[in-house]
Amino acid sequence: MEPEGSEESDEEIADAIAESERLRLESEQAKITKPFKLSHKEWQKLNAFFITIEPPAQDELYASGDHYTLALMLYGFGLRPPEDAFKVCEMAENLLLQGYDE
Amino acid sequence: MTEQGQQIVVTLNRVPNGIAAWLTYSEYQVLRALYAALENPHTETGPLSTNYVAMHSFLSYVAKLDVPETVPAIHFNAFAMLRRGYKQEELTEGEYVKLRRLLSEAERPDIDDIELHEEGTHRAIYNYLIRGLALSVARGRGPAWHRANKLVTAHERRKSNPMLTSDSLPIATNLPELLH
Repeated sequence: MEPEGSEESDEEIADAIAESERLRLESEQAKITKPFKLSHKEWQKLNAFFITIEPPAQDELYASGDHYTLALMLYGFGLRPPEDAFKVCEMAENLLLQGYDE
Repeated sequence: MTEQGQQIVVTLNRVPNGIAAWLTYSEYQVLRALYAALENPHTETGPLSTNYVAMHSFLSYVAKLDVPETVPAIHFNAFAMLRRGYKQEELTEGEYVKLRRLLSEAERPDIDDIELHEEGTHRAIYNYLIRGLALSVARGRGPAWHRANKLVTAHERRKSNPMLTSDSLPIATNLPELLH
């Protein structure tokens, strides 16, 4: 005997489970594919600094405070910048290209 | 350099300017691993974490730098040492020609591309580095290609300027326990 109030059929329950699973997968997919975007303020800060610095050189014989400052800025946005100055610049450039969250 | 960048260098830098890289490839790989383990310098407060202590030991004993025991100084000088790179071994003309030819036949992969097939030009480069030249290199087509490319570039630079020999470069003489 079915308990009172449990009037859903097996098919309805299966549909509800399928729908819930579909929503969960969609949400996960959105997390995976949605690119990280800076806030407007962060984007402006990064852009203002990025346009003032030179790209890194190969076999750098002098310590560069600019590329380190850029890396620190990315850390400040909660990101994990790469160790390589070329890749740090690439990451910053990509973030700027992606725009900011409205 | 921007004013902000100059200020950081003046305050934190302990890596001598104008001197070619002196870490060996193996030491450089240790430096990369230690750097990857460092926590976000913005959020580090209080006593140094074990990762920062390990990096400070590396900078002191392997890189021979006099770095203050603070998070900003350790993090900055580690980054600066990574930028300086590692010392390039010298090639004979025959080794250079062979490596140059292999490189010209292989696509340039990302340096962190660790895929390595059993056959192909990237495998040939990797094999030549570790067997033909008995050099250490991280496994993968990216590390192998970039290691070979740097060797070839350094050889070409030495040929164009014979005064640049490894004998004129400072060498870190002792390896601490970190390397073992």
